[in-house]
Order: sequence, then structure tokens, then C-alpha cells
Amino acid sequence: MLINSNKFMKLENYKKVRLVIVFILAMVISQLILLQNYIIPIMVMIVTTLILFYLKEQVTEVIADERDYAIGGQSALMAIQVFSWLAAILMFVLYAKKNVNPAYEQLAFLLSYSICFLMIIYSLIFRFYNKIKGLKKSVYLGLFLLITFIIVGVSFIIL
Amino acid sequence: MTNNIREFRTKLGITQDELAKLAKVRRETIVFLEQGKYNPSLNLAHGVAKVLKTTIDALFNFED
Repeated sequence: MLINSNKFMKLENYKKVRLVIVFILAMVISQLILLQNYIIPIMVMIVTTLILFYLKEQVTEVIADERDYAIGGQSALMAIQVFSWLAAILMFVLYAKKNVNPAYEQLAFLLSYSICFLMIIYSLIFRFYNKIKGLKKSVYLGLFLLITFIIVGVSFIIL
Repeated sequence: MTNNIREFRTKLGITQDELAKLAKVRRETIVFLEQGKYNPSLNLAHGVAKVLKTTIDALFNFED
């Protein structure tokens, strides 16, 4: 009754491989940043993300089901709300204390912009799922690669 | 909403783990389903009913 497929990886093995990859990734990125190299870490992150994406697809067992996704959605929304409220309160406190240290003002602006950025990202993703969800996985992968290339391109221009 | 998943499952002699694999969910989801702590999607309800060789109506009591 179980569906036959050419998937080859057990969940336990996937977890082990993921742990090793994250461990190596952390080491490589920290070393390269210490050497003031910022392009290779971005490339390494993209490559490892793609490798992990591929390996995840090859796992024979169920990694996450609809209940996990529902809980994940609720948790993400709650996390955004908690962060936004805390950051907004902290922003006002820092802005009020700008006479104590001028750097507080910059920090307050940084927090306010990060809240705005988070809200924009949330709105865009919400709109995406509300309107476009139901596309094939290849389209999602294409969008991911497109966004990644844009980020890499912008990084190259900035650096 | 209550359900008779445990009764149908034991009648067929399959474990929670086996049901989870056949319904393509994690075992924890089956545990929560049987305890009535999780309301499944129509898709999952159909999948579980199919595995347990019954119907959604027989499996779930919507009147509670």
C-alpha cells in the first residue's frame, strides 16, 4: 500500500547529514567572515540550502505534515507580533533616551525600519500564499533561485 | 468533534505508526487525532478514512 519511489534517505540519516552540514557551514562562514570575505559565505549558504532542499526531498518518511505547518504558521505569526511589540516599545524607550547616548537614536531608527521591513515581508508573503499558492514545486524553486540571485547581485554591487 | 479512529484502527489491527505511514503524516498527528485534540483537513480525513476502509461520516462525529 506504501508508494514505491526512488527516494533513498531515512529520516535519521537526513537529520545526521543536516547536523554535519550545519556544523561545517558554521565553521566555514565564521572563518571566511574573520578573513573579511563576504561573497563566498553567501555562495556557500546558497549551495548548502540547495543541497539540504534536495536531501529533504529524498527522505522516505514524513518530515512534517499539515499539523506541523498549521502550528508553524501560528508560531510565526505570534513571533512576528511579539517581536513587533517589543521592538516598538524598545524603539520609543531608546528614542526618549537619545540625550543619554546619541547612538540610541540610530538604534531606535534601525528597530523601527526593521519592524516596517518585517511587516512588508509578511504582507508580501501573505499575499503570495493567498493568491498564488498551488503552484508546482518547480515554480517555488524558480522563485527561490530568482530571489537568491537578486540578493547575490545586490550583494556584489554593495561589496 | 469526536472520532472513532482508534476503534477502526484496532479493528484492522494496525498500529498508530503504520496508520501514520499509510496516511503520510507523522505518528504524533495520529495520536492527537485519536485524542480529539486536532481537527484534520478534509484531505487528511479522507486519507485516514481510505486507509481504515471506511467513510469520513463513519469516522468523525460532527454533531458534538
